Amino acid sequence: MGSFKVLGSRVPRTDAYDKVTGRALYTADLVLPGMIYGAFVRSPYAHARIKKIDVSEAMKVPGVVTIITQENLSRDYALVIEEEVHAAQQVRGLLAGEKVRYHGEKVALVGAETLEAAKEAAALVKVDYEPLPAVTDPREAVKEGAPLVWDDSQPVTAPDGSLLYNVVAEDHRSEGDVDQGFAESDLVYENEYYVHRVHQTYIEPQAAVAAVDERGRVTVWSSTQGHFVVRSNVARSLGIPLSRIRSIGMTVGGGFGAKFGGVVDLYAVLLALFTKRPAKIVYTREEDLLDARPAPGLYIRIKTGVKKDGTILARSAFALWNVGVGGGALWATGAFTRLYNIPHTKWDAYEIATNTPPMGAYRAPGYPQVLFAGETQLNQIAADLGMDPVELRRKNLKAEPGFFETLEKVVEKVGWFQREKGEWEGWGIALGHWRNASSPAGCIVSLDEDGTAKVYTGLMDLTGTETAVAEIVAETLQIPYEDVTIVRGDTDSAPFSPPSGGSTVTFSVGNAAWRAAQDLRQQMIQLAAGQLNALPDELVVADRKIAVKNDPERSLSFAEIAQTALRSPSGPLIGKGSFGGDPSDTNIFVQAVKVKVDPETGKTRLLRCVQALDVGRVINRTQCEGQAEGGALQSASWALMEEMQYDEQGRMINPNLADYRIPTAFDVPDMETILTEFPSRHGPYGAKGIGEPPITAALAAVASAIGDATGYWALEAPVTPERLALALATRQPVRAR
Amino acid sequence: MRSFEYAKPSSVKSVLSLLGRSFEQAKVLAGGVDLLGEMKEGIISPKRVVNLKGVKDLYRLDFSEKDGLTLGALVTLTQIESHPTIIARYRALAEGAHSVATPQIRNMSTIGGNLCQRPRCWYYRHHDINCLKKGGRLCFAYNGENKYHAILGGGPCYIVHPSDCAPPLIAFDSSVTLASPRGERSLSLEDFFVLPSQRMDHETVLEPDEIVTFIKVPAPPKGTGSAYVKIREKQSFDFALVGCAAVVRMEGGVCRQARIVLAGVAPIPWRSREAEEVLEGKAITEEIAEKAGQAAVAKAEPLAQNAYKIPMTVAAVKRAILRAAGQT
Repeated sequence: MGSFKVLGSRVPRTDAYDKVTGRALYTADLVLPGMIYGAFVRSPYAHARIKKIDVSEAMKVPGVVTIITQENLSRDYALVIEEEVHAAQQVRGLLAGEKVRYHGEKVALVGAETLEAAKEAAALVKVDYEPLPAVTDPREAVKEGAPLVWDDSQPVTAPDGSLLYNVVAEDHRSEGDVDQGFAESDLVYENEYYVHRVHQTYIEPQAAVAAVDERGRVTVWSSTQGHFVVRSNVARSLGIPLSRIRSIGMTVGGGFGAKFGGVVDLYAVLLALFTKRPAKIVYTREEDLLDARPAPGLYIRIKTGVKKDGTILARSAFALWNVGVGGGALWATGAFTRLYNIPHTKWDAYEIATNTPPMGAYRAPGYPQVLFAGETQLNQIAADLGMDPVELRRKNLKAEPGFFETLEKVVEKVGWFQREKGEWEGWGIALGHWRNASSPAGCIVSLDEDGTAKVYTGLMDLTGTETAVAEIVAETLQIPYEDVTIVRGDTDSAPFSPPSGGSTVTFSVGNAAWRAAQDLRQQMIQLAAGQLNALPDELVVADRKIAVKNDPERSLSFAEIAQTALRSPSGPLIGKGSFGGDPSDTNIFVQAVKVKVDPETGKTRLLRCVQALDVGRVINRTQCEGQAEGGALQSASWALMEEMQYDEQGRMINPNLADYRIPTAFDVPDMETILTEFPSRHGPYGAKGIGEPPITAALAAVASAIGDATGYWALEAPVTPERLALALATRQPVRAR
Repeated sequence: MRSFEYAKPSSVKSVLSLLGRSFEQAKVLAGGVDLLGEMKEGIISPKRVVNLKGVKDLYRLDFSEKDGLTLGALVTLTQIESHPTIIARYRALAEGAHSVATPQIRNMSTIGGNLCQRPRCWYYRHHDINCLKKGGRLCFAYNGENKYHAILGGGPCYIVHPSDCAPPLIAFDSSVTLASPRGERSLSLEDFFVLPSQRMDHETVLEPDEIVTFIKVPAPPKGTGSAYVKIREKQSFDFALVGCAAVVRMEGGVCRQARIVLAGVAPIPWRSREAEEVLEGKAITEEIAEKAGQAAVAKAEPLAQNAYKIPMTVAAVKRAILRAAGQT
């Protein structure tokens, strides 16, 4: 590739000014005439039979308009959640029916003139519960005698012949023959790891507004990663034809996988349908922690057979995913085998229902959990073999484009083989990876009379993807970034777009935009060729102009081309691009961290955080670095402090950001980020999706650094001061009591 | 949040006339940092909220060698952490105030509110759970999730007191002035706090119709050093897992007087006379400081999940003493 005019720069995000000036419009900012407010009645129990719901007192609260329970709902209504990223589908009641199955589950929905009235009434709805035993830990849920989350669930037989209860799905894969591989190994390691459920803790809680017009047409505004997904979920769940739903994506304050719909949008629509008035639902932080789509937890037993020289011969895993009352985690289980040449691999994975909220995606869904186990164990093995953990990787890493080079960049930046550590300090390294999703997408690019371009897309910008698309169009048309305006359409006005998840947008919408810009460029060249009496391949496109290569005086500016088009029979210049999906390539992410442990308190501090990410092609350097650093931080935070905690009755006891901890600026060291560029075969200008990979490795790297600092390896995350202090005091690996 | 009556009087006398016979009838608002959280989370629903911020007297902040430091209840933590005399003479107090939450919260938080704040126990703070402290029958922490709970002075409720300012203030031998319709009373700040075994519905001796008006801190004698050490999971915006305020008076290389007060380990700011006794009359060395830490936890009775706080307390006490004595 030659040099780029726009790509690789640090132009500001398209949404930067609106966000920093407070002008960006979020869902909670919307107020419609006659709008009512929704509040939920939620289960205080993790598991209980509902004997009776009495709304009579609640209905007396002044301002209450309606109270909806599962009993008043049409049988055709169901919560149908399809997440394209996971290919997961869940069908449940919209509200709890005969049972509640997790603490905070929606039992009834109140609509009132004010939020205060809605909340007051919600508190007055009398629900008669018969509490039932609950289970929140998948290791307990699989045992005989555990409470059954789903009444009709039947036990399944595990590979060792034991019966597993509360299984909702399973997956078994193998390549080669692991038994043979273990038999040929000099050493076989087997460890059990446990990762608690964590929440995405986006800054903006879930929110939606809905309205229904006189003809029954539904409009829904929401904080979502994909308004097209919201539209299809509303259609499927409430039986409304797709063409009668308009879904509008508002500015989004983060999603990380939890905002594919179904949490609040359907309920706002329900209220609007029931009352014929616009309705708004905005979650509190507590509601979001209790009842959104947090990541699944994982129990995983990994067995690895190696030769004394560090060659990995076989790896197998037995995994129990804690999916709550949802599903869709299985597919990530194999992440621990992907990067290495391993002749024999096998995994047996199960999704286990527990009395916790339904799982959703969380950035590289499932990978941080699996790689915590897989990569931490490799570091334990390296320590046991007396081998450097980087050497162990070099020996086994696949020779795919960028894998070795990206690893070596970190080795070089850190000075890995000369690394120093003081007392109670340690280093950890871990590899992560992802291959971006590739999804159908359309895009239209038009040329205005002043020679600037407008881009019509339906992408939902969470991470700067609008900026990326604008840069791709600018580069293709050879105009400055400032000459491109992005028009984000809704489902009525925009071409189809995939939801922003799975690192798909820059790749997929980027490809559609690139094709649309190419199409426009061809039309411009054709028109210019006629005007300049030249052949198309005699022309060059540069600096907002098309000129004859050997006679630059003969040229037309983009503005002249656009104006000429308006006067010509062909009319305005509009390029269109459609992309149906082509495979991308794996990008590797390499994470090295240095920590210092306080041996008296068990507290770990991050001293250095060095990461390298293969982005395929840098579209916007600042955004690429931001992705790498944000992901590394989320993962490190997962390693040190994040955990949804449930008490023995299954109640979540930390549904607030005081007790559910996320890091502050003081907890984060300076981030050192390296970008490598090993182009994807089919990415626009070689770009790979980069949203997911940065979260995949720090969990393992931090845990391993703690192992390096203390000699005690983490088998459970997060490694809180409490757990590490206990490990140091009892001389046991780090895990819960 | 339920609707409530709101009043903003301009004198202590009218504040008192608006308070009620029970905490449900009326609550006092100052910075609102704790009170509004409790109201929004549905923990309490007072019928009336009385805003103190119209009472000018309560903003007083002055120091004299004779009378020491006087803090009106409305002095903010930002004022305390940035006040040159407090930084110079009462370092542990400045450090305690500085360690609270975030700058925005410290701008709002008042010293009176910091002393009167309610526990952070996750059962107490959960509107779905009616625990012993809220008039229920059980302390759920006792047999439940208790890693953040008390290792000293617990029972039948096992909260820890969340204040980072009370331990240094007690270590400086502060007194507190309270006002009620029955008049004023002053008592040592140490006696202001009461254990759950004595009283369940509040952590202090405050009556529902009584407010904190002033805190008085004697001028520290020559040779006094102090420090507050706070150990927490996050580096800011977090309550103490364990905290320790140490005030030591040195004379000729020997500790003449020491006051050690712990945070995060007991239902009240926990004065450790055992630790103080270890220090008095001794030169302060790492070994002595460690011994004092050990003495502080000698009577600890951890619950199932919080034994980790014992070595952590030893470390906090040791570090606070060494810093107070100017050794680190």
